[in-house]
Parts: sequence; C-alpha cells; structure tokens
Amino acid sequence: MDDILIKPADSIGTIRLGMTQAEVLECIQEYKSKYPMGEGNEYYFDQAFKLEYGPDEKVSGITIDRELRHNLNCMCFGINIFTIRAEEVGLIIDQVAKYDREKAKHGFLYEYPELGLSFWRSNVFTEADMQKEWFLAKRPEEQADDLLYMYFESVRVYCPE
Amino acid sequence: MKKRFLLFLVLLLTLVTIVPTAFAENGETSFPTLEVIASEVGTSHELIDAKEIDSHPDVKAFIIDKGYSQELQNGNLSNIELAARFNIQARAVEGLSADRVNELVQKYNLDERQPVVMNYEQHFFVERDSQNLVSNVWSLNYITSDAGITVSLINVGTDSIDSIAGTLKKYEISKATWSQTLTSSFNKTSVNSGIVHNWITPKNKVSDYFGYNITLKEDGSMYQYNLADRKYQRYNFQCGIYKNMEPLGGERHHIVSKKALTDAGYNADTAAALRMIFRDHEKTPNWGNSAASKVYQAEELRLLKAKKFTELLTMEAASFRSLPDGEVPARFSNLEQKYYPELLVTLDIADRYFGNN
Repeated sequence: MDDILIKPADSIGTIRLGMTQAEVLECIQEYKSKYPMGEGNEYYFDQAFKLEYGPDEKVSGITIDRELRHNLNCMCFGINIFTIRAEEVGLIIDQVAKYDREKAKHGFLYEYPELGLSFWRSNVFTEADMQKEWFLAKRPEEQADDLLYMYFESVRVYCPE
Repeated sequence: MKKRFLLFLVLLLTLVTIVPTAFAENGETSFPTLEVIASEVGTSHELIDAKEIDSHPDVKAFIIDKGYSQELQNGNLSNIELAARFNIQARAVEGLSADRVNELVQKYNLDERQPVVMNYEQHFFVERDSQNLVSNVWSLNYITSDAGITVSLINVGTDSIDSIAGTLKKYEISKATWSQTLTSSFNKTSVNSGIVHNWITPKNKVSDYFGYNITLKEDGSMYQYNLADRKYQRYNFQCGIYKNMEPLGGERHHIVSKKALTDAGYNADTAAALRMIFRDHEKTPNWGNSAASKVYQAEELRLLKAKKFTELLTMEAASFRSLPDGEVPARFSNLEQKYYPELLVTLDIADRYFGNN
C-alpha cells in the first residue's frame, strides 16, 4: 500500500496549504486516476480531503479521516497514525513539539499549535470501556465500531498562528 | 444576540467549503443505455423512460389503444398504491417467529404492516416493425421497498418476451466505501405479465442500493442494459441513545458533540444520537477540528454550561438545515430533509435528556 504523507503546516499528500481550488481539483483528479475505487466510489477522493479556504480563497486547512487508512498508509513523523492508539500517537509526536494539555484532557483532541497539526476523534473509547456491560452485550461487529475510537478519527494540518 | 450569533455560525459554516467538483448536485442519475447484441432484420427495439412517454406519441397511443392507459399513470400512484399494484410485500419482522408476530398482532390489536416503497422506475421496451410502426410494448417495472427489489413486466401487446435474464446486485456501504455484497439472478422465458423476479433482502446497513445487468431476447434480437448508480437506494437511519445504537456501516452522530457534553460534565454515552451516512456525519458542524468546528463546539459548550438547551438544540437543528446532502450525487436539499423523522425523534430524546420538556 502506498503512503500519503502528512506534513504539519504544509500538506497532506500532494495537496498543500496555500493552493487554489483549481490546484486542489487537479490533485484530487490525480488521486482518482491513480487509485480507482470501484463502483459506487467514484467520488471517494473528492470527499476524502476536507478543505478549508481563507479569505484569499486559498487552502488554509486540510483534514483527512481515518477511512483513508484502508487505501493509503497515513504517515506523519514516520508513524502510521490511524493504526496506532491515539494516546501513543500523541506521546510520540509530543517528543517533537508539545500538545496542548488542556485541550487533550478528555482525549478528544491533541493539538500541536507550534507545528500546525492536530488529531481528533468524536468519541473516546478506553480499555476500561471494554469491560462495561453495554459493550460486552454487543455483537463482535458492533464492538469493532466502538474499538475504532481508541484511535484518532481525523488529522488536520494548518498554518500555525 | 442569539439570532446574530446563529447567523454568524451559518456564515462561518459556509466559508468552510468542500472542494467543488464536476459532479451533478441535482440528484439526477443515469437512464440505462440499450446495447444491441444481436438484431433481427425487419424489427427494431428501443428502451424508453416512462417519464418521457409524451415525447413518443405513437408509443403512448399504442398503449392506450391496447387498453393499458393505466400503465401511463403508475408514476402518479402513491407508494401504497404502487405496493398494491405490484404486490409488494411488507418487510418481515426480524427477531420474532411468524407465529409470535401473529400472536402479538392479535393480542394488541395491531394493524397489518404496510410495505414501504422506496423507489419506482418504469421503462417501456418498444418493438417496431419494418415500417417503423409500433408492434408491441412491454412495461418493465423496478420497485425497491424496505423488503427488497421486485422486477415486474406488463405485456401491453400480444407477444410475450422470449426471455428476460439478469442479475440484480446489492451494494452496501461501510463507512466511506460502497461494495457489492450480494447478487440474485433470474432467467425467465416466454415472459408475459407478472412478477419477473422478487428478491427479498433486508436493509442490514445504514444504506444500500441495487444495480442490475439485464438481457432481453425477442425474435432473434438481443439487448443488454445495465444500471450501477444509486438510483435504487434505500436508507436505514435510526435515532436513540448513543451507546445502544448500532452504526451498521454508518456513524453514530451525537446531536450535541460528545466533547462538549463531556467538558460540561454530562454522560455522553446516554445522550441522543442519530445514525447517519459517514459522509453526512463529516458534514455536521461539530465534526472534526477545523476552525469552524472549534468555534461551533465552543458555542455548544457555552450553551450547555448556561443550560440554554432550547437555544442549543435550535442551533443543532439549524445546522442540519444549512448543510447539503453529503452524498454524491445529492438526493436531498439538505440534511434536515434527509434525516427529518430521525432528527425529530433525536431532538425529543435530547429534550428529555436535558430535562428541557
């Protein structure tokens, strides 16, 4: 499987901060050509990249979600970020620059303001949750969905303030 | 102040745009192309979308002359009338035996369960003679319901179709990706009016859709046509308490974000949630860590701490109305319309969760 590189304050894959919409479209078209996703998924790459545009109509933030891990290794500082537990990712990158402890207190958001990098998940699932009655009562395939939240759900790069 | 802030949030959300691409956003999908495999001299065939029948006056006149004018009205029928017309069965009750279902229906005086028709499409397969006059018409009908998909034929003329063979394909979504998961094949000869194929297959995922490859043979001619887009799509949304909800290939969306709930000291596992399509979930304003999402989540937290629950849930509802359908091509004008019944019940659950009723 190919890698897609996440570079803080710079880019995700070939899509870079500061690009115009037209330039982004070209990049997405290249991904679509290079990685055909089969019937029903013709717009996969159009939706895989969540772009933010500033007043100058250039890319100011790029987010990808963890579903991309099925098709590309999402690599940041040499680690495949959606395959390693969230807390571990947070600590590894903390050795490069500190994450905001206040924002991370409940585990949803690890933000590295100096780097222009953040990781997020909508839910936090822990080892302790695996022993809870409501989890144990679920079928294995439904438990699998809860277990996903031991990992980050998205990563964002942006220009640090 | 409240209205100005809501307006600000809506404007902020509109600044966060997804990459525009060349896809259609009007919900229109394709009409299958009839591919000629073999053609008998002296006859020709074409496939017409029933919605375009007024552009084919000789075909319309043939149908009326043969006493089948009702076939021209199917598109005006209600879903209940369509279900009766094509003998569509209601979805089976899962988890209970048929006997137990009957027992409960009798015991609690329940009405009979009605089928729910999701999509209906009608094609006219038209045969013309050597002088290009209409010599026969067959009405091909595709009906998807919450039970499955039915292919039905009405012979408007006197000649049965020599054979109809095909494979129906079911596609299911798992998070961001569609996959073909099941097929059901059929092969009927000397086909007259009636059900050609009935495939009962439940909705196991948050959404599925059907495609088909069909081969028609008639008097030495052979045609194929295929459909693989999301024309016959079904949805399986749900609302309820987050921890008990099955995502079924979709996402469980906390109507008020779990982070805001947790930061404000609430138990988010018992909070109201809505099962959504993955790409719709990503559109919600409290998803992710974009600049706009941060502002939105901060406002959720502020309203939670101030116990302004009506204002909070009004904001959440307004966000659904402001957001486009996340699927491509879009079928709904916004997420409020797409999830309307489930959104209502989710808001009801949220009201009770916050003691706001």
